[in-house]
Amino acid sequence: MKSKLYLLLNILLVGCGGSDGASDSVVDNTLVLGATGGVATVEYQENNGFLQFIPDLDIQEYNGASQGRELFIATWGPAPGARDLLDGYGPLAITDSCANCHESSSRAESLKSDGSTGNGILFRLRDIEGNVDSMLGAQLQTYSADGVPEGSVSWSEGSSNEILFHLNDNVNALDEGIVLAPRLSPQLIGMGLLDLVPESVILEYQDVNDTDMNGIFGRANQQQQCIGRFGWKAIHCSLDGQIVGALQQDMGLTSTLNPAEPCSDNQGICNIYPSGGDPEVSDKSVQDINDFLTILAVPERRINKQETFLAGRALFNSTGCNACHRETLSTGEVERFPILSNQTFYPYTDLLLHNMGPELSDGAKESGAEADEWRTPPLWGLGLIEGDGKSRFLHDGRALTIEQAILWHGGESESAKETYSQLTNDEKDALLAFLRAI
Amino acid sequence: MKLQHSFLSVCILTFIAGCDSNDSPASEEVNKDTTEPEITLSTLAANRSIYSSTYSINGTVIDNQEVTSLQLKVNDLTKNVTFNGGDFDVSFVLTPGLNNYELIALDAAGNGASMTDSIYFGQQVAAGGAHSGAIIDGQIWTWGRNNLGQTGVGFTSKLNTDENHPTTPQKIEVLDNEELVTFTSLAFNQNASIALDNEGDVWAWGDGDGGQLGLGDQDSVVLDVDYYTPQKINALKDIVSITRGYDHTVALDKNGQVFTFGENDKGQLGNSSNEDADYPQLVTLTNIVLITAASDSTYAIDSDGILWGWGENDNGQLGQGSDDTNDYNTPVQIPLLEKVISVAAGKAHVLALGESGKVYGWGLNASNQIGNTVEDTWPDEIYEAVELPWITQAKAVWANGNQSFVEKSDQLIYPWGFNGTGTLGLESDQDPISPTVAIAELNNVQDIAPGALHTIALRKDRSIFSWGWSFEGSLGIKEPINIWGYTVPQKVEFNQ
Repeated sequence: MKSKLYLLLNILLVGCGGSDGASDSVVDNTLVLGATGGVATVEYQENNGFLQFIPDLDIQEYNGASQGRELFIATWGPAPGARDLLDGYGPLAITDSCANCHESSSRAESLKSDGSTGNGILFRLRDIEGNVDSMLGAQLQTYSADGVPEGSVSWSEGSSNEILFHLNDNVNALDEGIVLAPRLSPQLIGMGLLDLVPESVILEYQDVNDTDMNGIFGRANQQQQCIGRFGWKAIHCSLDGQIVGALQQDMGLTSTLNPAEPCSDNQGICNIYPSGGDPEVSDKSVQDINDFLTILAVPERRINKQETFLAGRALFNSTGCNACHRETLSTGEVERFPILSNQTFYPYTDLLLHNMGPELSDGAKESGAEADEWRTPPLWGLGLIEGDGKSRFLHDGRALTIEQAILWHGGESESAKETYSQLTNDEKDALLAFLRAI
Repeated sequence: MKLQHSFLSVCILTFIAGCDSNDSPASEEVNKDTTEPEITLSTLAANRSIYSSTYSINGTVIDNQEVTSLQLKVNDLTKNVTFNGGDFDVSFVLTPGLNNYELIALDAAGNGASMTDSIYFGQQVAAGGAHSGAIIDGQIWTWGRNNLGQTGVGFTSKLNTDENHPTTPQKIEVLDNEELVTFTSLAFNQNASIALDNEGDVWAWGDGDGGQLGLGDQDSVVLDVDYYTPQKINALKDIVSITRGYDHTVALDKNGQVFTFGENDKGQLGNSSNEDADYPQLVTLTNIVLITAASDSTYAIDSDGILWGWGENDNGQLGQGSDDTNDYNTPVQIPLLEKVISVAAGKAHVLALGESGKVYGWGLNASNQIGNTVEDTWPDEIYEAVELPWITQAKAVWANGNQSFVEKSDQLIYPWGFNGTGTLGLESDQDPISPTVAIAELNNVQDIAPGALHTIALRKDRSIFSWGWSFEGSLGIKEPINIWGYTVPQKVEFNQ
């Protein structure tokens, strides 16, 4: 049984009377926060922080998580392979293992110091209308079984510190208007909790017409018959959708939900190379991976000084960050993992799309989300990776620190950013300390 | 451990207070002792497996006045238990399979208390080279590698080519004179399998090399035929415990005698010979209560808690203070500082559990399966028993290959040694040098069977888990990744 230390740490006691950070008047001294992930909260382990299982989950209730873990860390190979279960990789892909992009204690390297890009970032190929490239399809695959990948991407910094991406080694030029739309890979914690939030809970914060006149709209991505919640553009409604999307586009693996290889109609390579089965990833394997991701716990808060944390939280709210970075969500009834039923947790996201302004626009509309619309990313665990030498923030990795990420905010969040900018240094420190602790 | 007790036969002495009676002094009723004795056991077995034919319990029995008797009822036998100052310590003989026992205490006023517990004598799960098994409700289930018929399903098969290969558990129903046989214990190792039934008969199947199935006749020809279904060994009877080395088999009968058969190149049969035997050989030991085997050596504990060993000593696994290539074909005593209550052996290392709860190890230590310090001061071979400083109050030890497992007093399983194939059930690729990290969430374990590279565990709730090297269906799971190490235990599903 893991330590219950987090329970103690997470109970913020009454009567702190802090004097540093924000003014006392905004600190709610009666505040009691629950555990970050509800029952799915775990004491943080430095070397394996994002691959820890829910501590109170009996091994009897792991379902397919053991198998899912192996499928997740396994290196998949082209068909026919020595292991039926692990073949079918490619012929177009980005990488051959889930774990290459989603690491156990950090974010995978995205913008490398030599100007190349790593496994921690991929690129959609879209234009402002949402059209995909006629030859290369909806995503750039940097591996090809025939040795001629669709291209590679390098990066440089623009005059305004924005990141410029350059397509290299490509045989085919992109269609006019098609851009490289970068997508940083996140650390995978609390994915199960987010998956288990009822749609009605997400819609509670939707405010398409800004009826409360606070400048924050919030729009659910309902392009499909469901509400998108995963991905930078909320293009996947469920964890299953996210999994099979990544298997297809990133690893060239077909599934029942995504039965086609990641080739466009104009790419013949997918008809040449042998398939790893129909589908290449069985329904059971998808479920196993889902089980594995679902029981990954959320690290407990890391609060150095309670008063500062409280003050930072108050500032987080008073500056308006919490208008999008919704502090709590809750799960409904969960049949497969009953322990996760009715859990309130602290991801700091509303799972909605918001207009983030022209500076963050990537010029690509994707699956119902405009180029300048982004799904509010969860903030939990950011402090665990900030400054680790390779983790970056925002969709294209332009921010190396949490504060830089704040300062890139625009659009609906312009006001909150401005308010942040006007805080005293102590207040900023308190707010950042809060963000690093959650 | 303090245990709940219950009233026993309180009705015998019941008198009803306040019953409006004037015919007896009220003070007598008020002072009447109605407090029952309290029994406390140091350990509760709760159905767990042990591998010794005798079991010792100790604890205390107290009463507000005086305990007048303490009785033990086990397997329809009743014996009086002596207690000194409230402390008692009693041993009793187990029958193969589940043993229920009851302690009953009475005080002078006739107040009684009782408590019950149960313990399983035998191995309820088994793991060989890459095949596995379990006994559920007296029936054998097997799965995994079947190239030599070691699963007992009636044919040989391979995972990738045979649709009916036993990737998931298969029930092996065995008939004897048209009666369904009930089993109590399993012992798999390498590619052969044996099972003990509730009549004291032993059944063998799989790889017959060297006569290790014990199905031959008393002649000069060694029968090395493979059998694909369980075969009764007619030359054995009244057996209470079975175990296997890599290529030899060992059986213990109810009289404390040890029988061996199979390969004997290292003297592992202990019969003063080096000839393979397909017919049970009697070892010159008496009053043996527990048997186990390493690859090519054999171990036995007698009723005095003395440990004996014979066979190979190439890595010092006989604990004689040195290694040598001699074939020890008769038993030698292994020096230990205290009485031994259990022993486990891997390929060439041995773990002995003393009555104090301390664990001692010796033999091959190449994967730190005995243990090591962070300064790497423990050698690759240890020639005499050393106390393992990481363990006190151990409940049980298990070993196979180059891996070791101990259950500590917190009732969690701590593995160490070779972990390259996920063998230890830890989220790590490293070989732990000592038992300091428990297998996460694997609590309430009743039995563990370490195979060559994979492991099977049975929990109190009767669920069975597997982890480690997945080869030819060794883990008993659907859609296994073949030739792959699983680090997180997963439940084995049985389609009853």
